[in-house]
Amino acid sequence: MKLSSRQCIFSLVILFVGLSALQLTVAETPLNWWSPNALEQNIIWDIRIPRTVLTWVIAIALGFAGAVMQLLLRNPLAEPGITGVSGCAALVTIACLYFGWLPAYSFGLPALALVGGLTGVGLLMLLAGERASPTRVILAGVAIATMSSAGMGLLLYLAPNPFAFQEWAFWHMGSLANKSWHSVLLALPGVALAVPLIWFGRRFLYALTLSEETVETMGFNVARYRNLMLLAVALLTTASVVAAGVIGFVGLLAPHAVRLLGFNHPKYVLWLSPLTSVLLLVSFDTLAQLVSTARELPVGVLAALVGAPLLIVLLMRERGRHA
Amino acid sequence: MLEIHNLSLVGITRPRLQGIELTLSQHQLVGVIGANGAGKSSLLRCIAAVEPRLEGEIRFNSRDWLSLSHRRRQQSLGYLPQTETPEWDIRIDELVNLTAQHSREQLDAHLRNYELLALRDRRVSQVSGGERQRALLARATITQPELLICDEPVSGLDVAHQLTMMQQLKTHAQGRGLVLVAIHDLALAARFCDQLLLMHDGQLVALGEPFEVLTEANLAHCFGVRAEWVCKTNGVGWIPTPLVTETD
Repeated sequence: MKLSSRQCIFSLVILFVGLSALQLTVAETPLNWWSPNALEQNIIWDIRIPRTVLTWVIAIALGFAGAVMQLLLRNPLAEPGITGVSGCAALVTIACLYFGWLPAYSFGLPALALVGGLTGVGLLMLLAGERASPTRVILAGVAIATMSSAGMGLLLYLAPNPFAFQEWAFWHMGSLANKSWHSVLLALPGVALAVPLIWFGRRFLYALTLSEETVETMGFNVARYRNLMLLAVALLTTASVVAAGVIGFVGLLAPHAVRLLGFNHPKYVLWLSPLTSVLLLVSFDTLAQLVSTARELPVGVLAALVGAPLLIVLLMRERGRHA
Repeated sequence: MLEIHNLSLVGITRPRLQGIELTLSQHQLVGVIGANGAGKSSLLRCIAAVEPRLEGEIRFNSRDWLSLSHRRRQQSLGYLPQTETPEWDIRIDELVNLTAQHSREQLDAHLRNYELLALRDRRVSQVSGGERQRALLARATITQPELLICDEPVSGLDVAHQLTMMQQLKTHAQGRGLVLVAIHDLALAARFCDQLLLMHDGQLVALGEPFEVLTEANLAHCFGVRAEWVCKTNGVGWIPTPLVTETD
Protein backbone atom coordinates (compact mmCIF):
# COMPACT_ATOMS: atom_id res chain seq x y z
CA MET A 1 0.00 0.00 0.00
CA LYS A 2 1.45 3.33 -1.04
CA LEU A 3 0.82 6.29 1.25
CA SER A 4 -0.12 9.70 -0.12
CA SER A 5 2.11 12.69 0.69
CA ARG A 6 -0.25 13.89 3.43
CA GLN A 7 -0.55 10.43 4.99
CA CYS A 8 3.22 10.10 4.91
CA ILE A 9 3.80 13.45 6.63
CA PHE A 10 1.05 12.69 9.17
CA SER A 11 2.73 9.34 9.92
CA LEU A 12 6.04 11.12 10.47
CA VAL A 13 4.40 13.51 12.94
CA ILE A 14 2.81 10.59 14.83
CA LEU A 15 6.19 8.88 14.90
CA PHE A 16 7.76 12.09 16.20
CA VAL A 17 5.31 12.24 19.12
CA GLY A 18 5.79 8.55 19.95
CA LEU A 19 9.58 8.61 19.79
CA SER A 20 9.80 11.81 21.81
CA ALA A 21 7.60 10.27 24.50
CA LEU A 22 9.88 7.21 24.52
CA GLN A 23 12.99 9.38 24.80
CA LEU A 24 11.44 11.28 27.73
CA THR A 25 10.55 8.18 29.66
CA VAL A 26 13.44 5.85 28.94
CA ALA A 27 16.01 5.96 31.73
CA GLU A 28 17.60 3.77 34.37
CA THR A 29 15.41 5.22 37.11
CA PRO A 30 11.69 5.04 36.36
CA LEU A 31 9.70 8.15 37.23
CA ASN A 32 6.12 8.64 38.24
CA TRP A 33 5.02 10.99 35.44
CA TRP A 34 1.41 11.41 36.62
CA SER A 35 2.06 12.46 40.21
CA PRO A 36 5.77 13.17 40.61
CA ASN A 37 7.27 14.10 43.94
CA ALA A 38 9.52 17.17 44.32
CA LEU A 39 12.69 15.33 43.30
CA GLU A 40 11.01 13.72 40.33
CA GLN A 41 9.62 17.09 39.31
CA ASN A 42 13.15 18.48 39.31
CA ILE A 43 14.40 15.55 37.23
CA ILE A 44 11.56 15.95 34.76
CA TRP A 45 11.78 19.73 34.38
CA ASP A 46 15.53 20.23 34.71
CA ILE A 47 16.91 17.08 33.05
CA ARG A 48 14.45 15.06 30.99
CA ILE A 49 12.43 17.78 29.24
CA PRO A 50 15.45 20.02 28.48
CA ARG A 51 17.21 17.00 26.97
CA THR A 52 14.29 16.22 24.69
CA VAL A 53 13.78 19.86 23.73
CA LEU A 54 17.51 20.21 23.08
CA THR A 55 17.39 17.10 20.89
CA TRP A 56 14.63 18.73 18.83
CA VAL A 57 16.51 22.02 18.49
CA ILE A 58 19.83 20.34 17.59
CA ALA A 59 18.12 17.99 15.16
CA ILE A 60 16.25 20.83 13.47
CA ALA A 61 19.55 22.68 13.13
CA LEU A 62 21.34 19.63 11.70
CA GLY A 63 18.44 18.72 9.39
CA PHE A 64 18.20 22.21 7.94
CA ALA A 65 22.00 22.56 7.68
CA GLY A 66 22.32 19.23 5.82
CA ALA A 67 19.44 19.99 3.45
CA VAL A 68 20.65 23.54 2.71
CA MET A 69 24.22 22.33 2.08
CA GLN A 70 23.06 19.56 -0.24
CA LEU A 71 20.77 21.84 -2.20
CA LEU A 72 23.25 24.71 -2.28
CA LEU A 73 26.24 22.64 -3.40
CA ARG A 74 24.03 20.43 -5.62
CA ASN A 75 25.73 17.61 -3.83
CA PRO A 76 23.97 14.70 -2.08
CA LEU A 77 27.06 14.07 0.07
CA ALA A 78 27.35 17.51 1.66
CA GLU A 79 26.83 17.78 5.41
CA PRO A 80 28.33 20.15 8.02
CA GLY A 81 30.01 17.31 9.97
CA ILE A 82 31.68 15.62 7.02
CA THR A 83 32.69 18.90 5.43
CA GLY A 84 34.44 20.12 8.57
CA VAL A 85 32.16 23.11 9.22
CA SER A 86 31.10 21.67 12.60
CA GLY A 87 34.74 20.93 13.44
CA CYS A 88 35.77 24.55 12.82
CA ALA A 89 32.91 25.82 15.01
CA ALA A 90 33.88 23.33 17.72
CA LEU A 91 37.52 24.40 17.52
CA VAL A 92 36.64 28.01 18.35
CA THR A 93 34.20 26.90 21.09
CA ILE A 94 36.88 24.75 22.72
CA ALA A 95 39.43 27.56 22.54
CA CYS A 96 36.94 29.95 24.21
CA LEU A 97 35.94 27.50 26.95
CA TYR A 98 39.18 25.87 27.92
CA PHE A 99 41.41 28.90 27.71
CA GLY A 100 38.95 30.87 29.79
CA TRP A 101 38.12 33.49 27.17
CA LEU A 102 34.40 33.09 27.81
CA PRO A 103 32.32 31.25 30.42
CA ALA A 104 30.17 28.31 29.29
CA TYR A 105 26.94 30.25 29.92
CA SER A 106 27.97 33.27 27.85
CA PHE A 107 25.92 34.10 24.79
CA GLY A 108 29.14 35.42 23.27
CA LEU A 109 30.10 31.76 22.84
CA PRO A 110 27.79 31.04 19.88
CA ALA A 111 28.75 34.40 18.38
CA LEU A 112 32.45 33.52 18.48
CA ALA A 113 31.80 29.94 17.37
CA LEU A 114 29.98 31.43 14.38
CA VAL A 115 33.33 32.85 13.26
CA GLY A 116 34.64 29.26 13.28
CA GLY A 117 31.61 28.01 11.35
CA LEU A 118 31.92 30.75 8.75
CA THR A 119 35.64 30.03 8.43
CA GLY A 120 34.82 26.36 7.84
CA VAL A 121 32.24 27.22 5.16
CA GLY A 122 34.64 29.72 3.55
CA LEU A 123 37.49 27.20 3.54
CA LEU A 124 35.23 24.59 1.97
CA MET A 125 34.20 26.92 -0.84
CA LEU A 126 37.81 28.01 -1.33
CA LEU A 127 39.30 24.52 -1.40
CA ALA A 128 36.54 22.88 -3.42
CA GLY A 129 36.13 25.81 -5.82
CA GLU A 130 33.01 26.82 -7.69
CA ARG A 131 30.99 24.10 -9.44
CA ALA A 132 32.98 21.47 -7.59
CA SER A 133 32.17 17.81 -8.10
CA PRO A 134 30.72 15.93 -5.11
CA THR A 135 33.98 14.07 -4.62
CA ARG A 136 35.97 17.30 -4.58
CA VAL A 137 33.68 18.77 -1.92
CA ILE A 138 34.12 15.66 0.20
CA LEU A 139 37.90 15.69 -0.23
CA ALA A 140 38.06 19.36 0.74
CA GLY A 141 35.75 18.59 3.67
CA VAL A 142 37.88 15.69 4.85
CA ALA A 143 40.94 17.97 4.83
CA ILE A 144 39.14 20.64 6.86
CA ALA A 145 37.59 18.11 9.25
CA THR A 146 40.97 16.46 9.84
CA MET A 147 42.66 19.79 10.49
CA SER A 148 39.93 20.96 12.85
CA SER A 149 39.94 17.60 14.64
CA ALA A 150 43.71 17.80 15.13
CA GLY A 151 43.32 21.40 16.30
CA MET A 152 40.65 20.34 18.82
CA GLY A 153 42.90 17.59 20.17
CA LEU A 154 45.84 19.94 20.49
CA LEU A 155 43.83 22.66 22.21
CA LEU A 156 42.27 20.22 24.68
CA TYR A 157 45.68 18.70 25.38
CA LEU A 158 47.32 22.08 25.95
CA ALA A 159 44.40 23.62 27.83
CA PRO A 160 45.20 24.76 31.39
CA ASN A 161 42.09 22.93 32.64
CA PRO A 162 43.38 19.46 33.73
CA PHE A 163 40.10 17.72 32.81
CA ALA A 164 39.79 19.31 29.41
CA PHE A 165 41.24 16.40 27.45
CA GLN A 166 38.78 13.98 29.06
CA GLU A 167 36.02 15.84 27.25
CA TRP A 168 37.49 14.94 23.89
CA ALA A 169 34.72 12.41 23.23
CA PHE A 170 32.01 14.98 23.95
CA TRP A 171 33.36 17.51 21.47
CA HIS A 172 34.39 14.96 18.88
CA MET A 173 31.34 12.69 18.91
CA GLY A 174 28.72 14.97 20.41
CA SER A 175 26.47 14.20 23.34
CA LEU A 176 23.06 15.17 24.67
CA ALA A 177 23.73 13.90 28.18
CA ASN A 178 23.59 16.17 31.25
CA LYS A 179 22.06 19.12 29.41
CA SER A 180 19.93 21.86 30.90
CA TRP A 181 17.70 24.64 29.66
CA HIS A 182 20.86 26.72 29.36
CA SER A 183 22.04 24.53 26.46
CA VAL A 184 18.68 25.00 24.79
CA LEU A 185 19.03 28.77 25.15
CA LEU A 186 22.54 28.64 23.68
CA ALA A 187 21.33 26.77 20.60
CA LEU A 188 18.02 28.54 19.99
CA PRO A 189 19.20 31.96 18.73
CA GLY A 190 21.23 30.46 15.86
CA VAL A 191 18.27 28.37 14.69
CA ALA A 192 15.86 31.29 15.15
CA LEU A 193 18.09 33.52 13.00
CA ALA A 194 18.80 30.88 10.33
CA VAL A 195 15.23 29.74 9.61
CA PRO A 196 14.03 33.16 8.27
CA LEU A 197 17.17 33.29 6.10
CA ILE A 198 16.34 29.86 4.67
CA TRP A 199 12.72 30.92 4.09
CA PHE A 200 13.99 33.98 2.22
CA GLY A 201 16.30 31.85 0.04
CA ARG A 202 13.99 28.88 -0.41
CA ARG A 203 13.16 29.53 -4.08
CA PHE A 204 16.85 29.98 -4.82
CA LEU A 205 17.52 26.57 -3.29
CA TYR A 206 14.69 25.00 -5.32
CA ALA A 207 16.07 26.64 -8.49
CA LEU A 208 19.48 25.11 -7.82
CA THR A 209 18.07 21.87 -9.21
CA LEU A 210 19.52 23.46 -12.36
CA SER A 211 23.00 24.87 -12.92
CA GLU A 212 24.11 28.13 -11.27
CA GLU A 213 24.30 29.68 -14.74
CA THR A 214 20.62 29.01 -15.34
CA VAL A 215 19.68 30.08 -11.82
CA GLU A 216 21.40 33.42 -12.49
CA THR A 217 18.92 33.99 -15.34
CA MET A 218 15.96 33.01 -13.16
CA GLY A 219 16.05 36.23 -11.16
CA PHE A 220 18.56 35.32 -8.47
CA ASN A 221 21.83 37.08 -7.69
CA VAL A 222 23.64 33.78 -7.13
CA ALA A 223 26.61 35.20 -5.20
CA ARG A 224 24.39 37.12 -2.76
CA TYR A 225 21.96 34.25 -2.16
CA ARG A 226 24.80 31.76 -1.80
CA ASN A 227 26.45 33.88 0.88
CA LEU A 228 23.15 34.18 2.74
CA MET A 229 22.64 30.44 2.66
CA LEU A 230 26.20 29.80 3.81
CA LEU A 231 25.57 32.18 6.72
CA ALA A 232 22.45 30.16 7.56
CA VAL A 233 24.46 26.91 7.50
CA ALA A 234 27.13 28.44 9.74
CA LEU A 235 24.46 29.70 12.20
CA LEU A 236 22.78 26.29 12.36
CA THR A 237 26.02 24.37 12.70
CA THR A 238 27.29 26.70 15.40
CA ALA A 239 24.01 26.40 17.29
CA SER A 240 24.29 22.63 17.41
CA VAL A 241 28.01 22.55 18.18
CA VAL A 242 28.02 24.96 21.14
CA ALA A 243 25.23 23.00 22.79
CA ALA A 244 26.06 19.38 21.95
CA GLY A 245 29.44 19.11 20.24
CA VAL A 246 30.00 17.71 16.77
CA ILE A 247 27.22 15.29 15.85
CA GLY A 248 28.06 14.09 12.38
CA PHE A 249 26.02 12.28 9.71
CA VAL A 250 22.55 13.34 10.96
CA GLY A 251 22.64 16.21 8.45
CA LEU A 252 23.52 13.70 5.74
CA LEU A 253 20.97 11.08 6.74
CA ALA A 254 17.95 13.38 7.18
CA PRO A 255 17.63 14.66 3.57
CA HIS A 256 18.21 11.15 2.24
CA ALA A 257 15.49 9.82 4.50
CA VAL A 258 13.13 12.37 2.91
CA ARG A 259 14.19 11.25 -0.58
CA LEU A 260 13.78 7.58 0.41
CA LEU A 261 10.17 8.38 1.30
CA GLY A 262 9.69 9.51 -2.31
CA PHE A 263 9.95 13.27 -1.80
CA ASN A 264 12.59 14.31 -4.32
CA HIS A 265 11.57 17.92 -4.89
CA PRO A 266 13.92 20.32 -3.08
CA LYS A 267 10.86 21.89 -1.42
CA TYR A 268 10.13 18.68 0.48
CA VAL A 269 13.80 17.93 1.11
CA LEU A 270 14.26 21.37 2.65
CA TRP A 271 11.18 21.46 4.87
CA LEU A 272 10.91 17.77 5.82
CA SER A 273 14.59 17.21 6.62
CA PRO A 274 14.28 18.86 10.06
CA LEU A 275 11.43 16.45 10.87
CA THR A 276 13.31 13.33 9.73
CA SER A 277 16.38 14.68 11.52
CA VAL A 278 14.40 14.95 14.78
CA LEU A 279 13.17 11.38 14.33
CA LEU A 280 16.70 10.13 13.74
CA LEU A 281 18.36 12.03 16.58
CA VAL A 282 15.60 11.18 19.08
CA SER A 283 15.97 7.51 18.07
CA PHE A 284 19.76 7.61 18.35
CA ASP A 285 19.60 9.31 21.75
CA THR A 286 17.01 6.87 23.05
CA LEU A 287 19.15 4.00 21.84
CA ALA A 288 22.27 5.58 23.39
CA GLN A 289 20.49 5.68 26.76
CA LEU A 290 19.22 2.14 26.41
CA VAL A 291 22.48 0.45 25.45
CA SER A 292 24.67 2.38 27.89
CA THR A 293 25.85 0.79 31.05
CA ALA A 294 28.47 2.55 33.18
CA ARG A 295 28.91 5.56 30.92
CA GLU A 296 26.46 6.88 28.39
CA LEU A 297 27.40 6.32 24.76
CA PRO A 298 27.88 9.60 22.85
CA VAL A 299 24.96 9.98 20.47
CA GLY A 300 27.38 10.82 17.64
CA VAL A 301 28.76 7.27 17.80
CA LEU A 302 25.39 5.81 16.86
CA ALA A 303 24.86 8.48 14.19
CA ALA A 304 28.25 7.60 12.69
CA LEU A 305 27.50 3.85 12.84
CA VAL A 306 24.42 4.38 10.68
CA GLY A 307 25.69 7.35 8.66
CA ALA A 308 29.11 6.11 7.58
CA PRO A 309 27.79 3.08 5.63
CA LEU A 310 25.27 5.35 3.93
CA LEU A 311 28.08 7.70 2.92
CA ILE A 312 29.94 4.75 1.37
CA VAL A 313 26.82 3.70 -0.55
CA LEU A 314 26.30 7.26 -1.80
CA LEU A 315 29.94 7.59 -2.83
CA MET A 316 29.68 4.35 -4.82
CA ARG A 317 26.50 5.61 -6.47
CA GLU A 318 28.21 8.93 -7.35
CA ARG A 319 31.14 7.00 -8.81
CA GLY A 320 28.67 5.10 -10.98
CA ARG A 321 27.04 8.35 -12.12
CA HIS A 322 30.33 9.98 -13.07
CA ALA A 323 31.92 6.89 -14.62
CA MET B 1 14.80 45.11 -30.11
CA LEU B 2 18.23 43.89 -29.05
CA GLU B 3 21.13 46.29 -29.60
CA ILE B 4 24.73 45.38 -28.86
CA HIS B 5 27.51 47.94 -29.03
CA ASN B 6 31.22 47.22 -28.91
CA LEU B 7 30.84 44.01 -26.91
CA SER B 8 34.12 42.38 -25.90
CA LEU B 9 34.99 39.53 -23.61
CA VAL B 10 38.49 38.79 -22.37
CA GLY B 11 39.64 35.16 -22.33
CA ILE B 12 42.66 33.52 -20.68
CA THR B 13 44.88 33.36 -23.78
CA ARG B 14 42.95 35.42 -26.35
CA PRO B 15 39.82 37.58 -26.53
CA ARG B 16 36.69 35.44 -26.63
CA LEU B 17 34.65 38.25 -28.18
CA GLN B 18 35.86 41.39 -29.93
CA GLY B 19 33.90 44.53 -30.79
CA ILE B 20 30.54 42.91 -31.53
CA GLU B 21 28.04 45.36 -33.02
CA LEU B 22 24.56 44.19 -33.94
CA THR B 23 20.88 45.05 -33.86
CA LEU B 24 18.12 42.46 -33.94
CA SER B 25 14.41 43.17 -34.07
CA GLN B 26 11.65 41.25 -32.28
CA HIS B 27 9.70 38.20 -33.52
CA GLN B 28 12.65 36.55 -35.18
CA LEU B 29 14.41 33.24 -34.76
CA VAL B 30 18.09 34.07 -35.06
CA GLY B 31 20.62 31.26 -35.47
CA VAL B 32 24.12 31.80 -34.12
CA ILE B 33 26.51 29.71 -36.19
CA GLY B 34 30.26 29.22 -36.34
CA ALA B 35 32.95 26.62 -35.84
CA ASN B 36 33.83 25.27 -32.39
CA GLY B 37 35.45 28.02 -30.32
CA ALA B 38 34.14 30.79 -32.59
CA GLY B 39 32.45 32.54 -29.67
CA LYS B 40 28.81 31.43 -30.08
CA SER B 41 28.31 30.37 -26.47
CA SER B 42 30.27 33.36 -25.17
CA LEU B 43 28.01 35.72 -27.09
CA LEU B 44 24.87 34.03 -25.82
CA ARG B 45 26.19 34.01 -22.24
CA CYS B 46 26.94 37.72 -22.50
CA ILE B 47 23.43 38.46 -23.74
CA ALA B 48 22.02 36.29 -20.94
CA ALA B 49 24.12 38.43 -18.54
CA VAL B 50 25.79 35.44 -16.92
CA GLU B 51 29.27 36.44 -18.08
CA PRO B 52 30.79 38.75 -15.47
CA ARG B 53 33.83 40.06 -17.34
CA LEU B 54 32.22 41.51 -20.43
CA GLU B 55 32.74 45.04 -21.74
CA GLY B 56 30.38 47.03 -23.94
CA GLU B 57 26.73 47.87 -23.99
CA ILE B 58 23.64 45.69 -24.42
CA ARG B 59 20.20 47.26 -24.72
CA PHE B 60 16.97 45.31 -24.93
CA ASN B 61 13.74 47.12 -25.75
CA SER B 62 15.55 50.42 -25.07
CA ARG B 63 16.58 49.37 -21.55
CA ASP B 64 20.16 49.07 -20.36
CA TRP B 65 20.04 45.27 -20.12
CA LEU B 66 23.13 44.73 -17.95
CA SER B 67 22.22 47.27 -15.28
CA LEU B 68 18.75 45.80 -14.72
CA SER B 69 18.27 43.88 -11.48
CA HIS B 70 18.24 40.08 -11.73
CA ARG B 71 14.52 40.10 -10.95
CA ARG B 72 13.66 42.67 -13.65
CA ARG B 73 15.82 40.92 -16.24
CA GLN B 74 14.25 37.53 -15.43
CA GLN B 75 10.82 38.92 -16.38
CA SER B 76 11.97 39.18 -20.01
CA LEU B 77 14.56 36.40 -20.26
CA GLY B 78 14.49 32.66 -20.82
CA TYR B 79 17.77 30.75 -20.98
CA LEU B 80 18.69 27.20 -21.88
CA PRO B 81 22.45 26.57 -21.53
CA GLN B 82 24.52 24.14 -23.59
CA THR B 83 24.55 21.40 -20.98
CA GLU B 84 21.92 21.19 -18.29
CA THR B 85 21.31 18.20 -16.07
CA PRO B 86 18.78 18.54 -13.27
CA GLU B 87 20.55 17.48 -10.10
CA TRP B 88 17.50 16.10 -8.32
CA ASP B 89 15.21 13.43 -9.73
CA ILE B 90 12.01 15.48 -9.71
CA ARG B 91 8.85 15.09 -11.80
CA ILE B 92 8.60 16.73 -15.24
CA ASP B 93 5.78 19.06 -14.12
CA GLU B 94 7.85 20.07 -11.06
CA LEU B 95 10.82 20.79 -13.33
CA VAL B 96 8.81 22.93 -15.72
CA ASN B 97 7.18 24.85 -12.85
CA LEU B 98 10.37 24.91 -10.74
CA THR B 99 10.21 28.42 -9.32
CA ALA B 100 7.20 29.77 -11.19
CA GLN B 101 3.88 29.54 -9.41
CA HIS B 102 1.47 28.79 -12.21
CA SER B 103 -1.93 27.26 -11.62
CA ARG B 104 -2.50 23.68 -12.65
CA GLU B 105 -4.54 24.83 -15.67
CA GLN B 106 -1.79 27.19 -16.86
CA LEU B 107 0.85 24.54 -16.32
CA ASP B 108 -1.18 21.90 -18.16
CA ALA B 109 -1.68 24.24 -21.12
CA HIS B 110 2.05 24.91 -21.26
CA LEU B 111 2.89 21.21 -20.95
CA ARG B 112 0.41 20.47 -23.75
CA ASN B 113 2.16 23.01 -26.02
CA TYR B 114 5.40 21.11 -25.55
CA GLU B 115 3.80 17.65 -25.78
CA LEU B 116 4.73 16.92 -22.19
CA LEU B 117 1.30 16.43 -20.66
CA ALA B 118 1.53 12.64 -20.82
CA LEU B 119 4.92 12.79 -19.13
CA ARG B 120 3.98 15.16 -16.32
CA ASP B 121 4.22 12.55 -13.54
CA ARG B 122 7.40 10.90 -14.83
CA ARG B 123 10.67 11.64 -13.12
CA VAL B 124 13.61 13.23 -14.95
CA SER B 125 15.44 9.88 -14.85
CA GLN B 126 12.47 8.15 -16.48
CA VAL B 127 12.35 10.17 -19.72
CA SER B 128 14.59 10.18 -22.80
CA GLY B 129 17.22 12.83 -23.51
CA GLY B 130 14.95 14.47 -26.09
CA GLU B 131 12.01 14.58 -23.70
CA ARG B 132 14.20 16.04 -20.97
CA GLN B 133 15.51 18.70 -23.36
CA ARG B 134 11.91 19.55 -24.28
CA ALA B 135 11.04 19.83 -20.61
CA LEU B 136 14.01 22.15 -20.03
CA LEU B 137 12.87 24.32 -22.94
CA ALA B 138 9.35 24.34 -21.53
CA ARG B 139 10.86 25.48 -18.20
CA ALA B 140 12.75 28.28 -19.92
CA THR B 141 9.62 29.50 -21.72
CA ILE B 142 7.00 29.14 -18.99
CA THR B 143 7.25 32.86 -18.20
CA GLN B 144 6.70 33.63 -21.91
CA PRO B 145 9.98 35.57 -22.16
CA GLU B 146 10.45 38.27 -24.78
CA LEU B 147 14.07 37.19 -25.18
CA LEU B 148 14.81 33.47 -25.34
CA ILE B 149 18.41 32.26 -25.54
CA CYS B 150 19.18 28.60 -26.29
CA ASP B 151 22.70 27.25 -26.60
CA GLU B 152 22.72 24.23 -28.90
CA PRO B 153 19.29 22.96 -27.88
CA VAL B 154 19.15 20.31 -30.62
CA SER B 155 22.55 18.72 -30.07
CA GLY B 156 22.13 15.08 -29.19
CA LEU B 157 18.55 14.91 -30.43
CA ASP B 158 17.33 12.68 -33.26
CA VAL B 159 16.01 14.23 -36.49
CA ALA B 160 12.35 14.18 -35.46
CA HIS B 161 13.07 15.82 -32.10
CA GLN B 162 15.36 18.37 -33.78
CA LEU B 163 12.55 19.42 -36.11
CA THR B 164 10.03 19.58 -33.25
CA MET B 165 12.39 21.63 -31.10
CA MET B 166 13.17 24.10 -33.91
CA GLN B 167 9.47 24.47 -34.71
CA GLN B 168 8.75 25.20 -31.06
CA LEU B 169 11.46 27.87 -31.03
CA LYS B 170 10.05 29.36 -34.24
CA THR B 171 6.55 29.41 -32.77
CA HIS B 172 7.84 31.13 -29.63
CA ALA B 173 9.65 33.75 -31.74
CA GLN B 174 6.54 34.49 -33.77
CA GLY B 175 4.31 34.70 -30.73
CA ARG B 176 6.47 36.25 -28.04
CA GLY B 177 9.69 37.85 -29.21
CA LEU B 178 13.29 37.35 -30.11
CA VAL B 179 14.84 33.86 -29.98
CA LEU B 180 18.60 33.39 -30.25
CA VAL B 181 19.79 29.85 -30.81
CA ALA B 182 23.32 28.52 -31.23
CA ILE B 183 23.27 25.71 -33.74
CA HIS B 184 25.77 23.53 -35.59
CA ASP B 185 23.40 22.03 -38.14
CA LEU B 186 23.52 24.59 -40.96
CA ALA B 187 20.73 22.93 -42.92
CA LEU B 188 18.44 23.12 -39.92
CA ALA B 189 19.51 26.70 -39.29
CA ALA B 190 18.86 27.66 -42.89
CA ARG B 191 15.47 26.04 -42.84
CA PHE B 192 14.08 27.53 -39.64
CA CYS B 193 15.99 30.74 -38.84
CA ASP B 194 14.89 34.15 -40.04
CA GLN B 195 18.42 35.46 -39.69
CA LEU B 196 21.83 33.92 -39.15
CA LEU B 197 24.68 35.40 -37.20
CA LEU B 198 28.06 33.97 -38.25
CA MET B 199 30.88 34.07 -35.71
CA HIS B 200 34.58 33.46 -36.28
CA ASP B 201 37.44 33.94 -33.78
CA GLY B 202 35.24 35.96 -31.44
CA GLN B 203 34.13 38.34 -34.16
CA LEU B 204 30.87 38.80 -35.98
CA VAL B 205 31.56 37.94 -39.61
CA ALA B 206 28.10 38.14 -41.13
CA LEU B 207 24.51 38.84 -40.14
CA GLY B 208 21.57 38.45 -42.46
CA GLU B 209 19.15 36.03 -44.01
CA PRO B 210 20.45 32.48 -44.44
CA PHE B 211 21.14 32.81 -48.16
CA GLU B 212 23.15 35.99 -47.49
CA VAL B 213 25.26 34.44 -44.75
CA LEU B 214 25.81 30.90 -45.99
CA THR B 215 27.93 31.89 -48.93
CA GLU B 216 30.75 29.80 -50.28
CA ALA B 217 33.29 32.41 -49.19
CA ASN B 218 31.93 32.64 -45.62
CA LEU B 219 31.84 28.87 -45.21
CA ALA B 220 35.38 28.51 -46.50
CA HIS B 221 36.60 31.32 -44.22
CA CYS B 222 34.79 30.29 -41.02
CA PHE B 223 34.54 26.51 -41.27
CA GLY B 224 37.51 25.71 -43.50
CA VAL B 225 35.36 23.83 -45.98
CA ARG B 226 34.07 24.48 -49.46
CA ALA B 227 30.36 23.82 -49.71
CA GLU B 228 27.83 23.95 -52.46
CA TRP B 229 24.33 24.93 -51.49
CA VAL B 230 21.53 23.26 -53.34
CA CYS B 231 18.18 24.96 -53.19
CA LYS B 232 15.37 22.47 -53.20
CA THR B 233 11.92 23.23 -54.56
CA ASN B 234 9.84 26.07 -53.07
CA GLY B 235 12.80 27.27 -51.03
CA VAL B 236 12.09 24.97 -48.11
CA GLY B 237 15.65 23.96 -47.41
CA TRP B 238 19.25 24.43 -48.32
CA ILE B 239 21.44 21.37 -48.21
CA PRO B 240 25.18 21.73 -47.79
CA THR B 241 27.34 19.45 -49.83
CA PRO B 242 30.96 19.39 -48.76
CA LEU B 243 33.24 19.19 -51.76
CA VAL B 244 36.80 19.64 -50.60
CA THR B 245 37.99 19.90 -47.04
CA GLU B 246 40.77 22.45 -46.77
CA THR B 247 43.42 20.76 -44.72
CA ASP B 248 47.06 21.72 -44.32
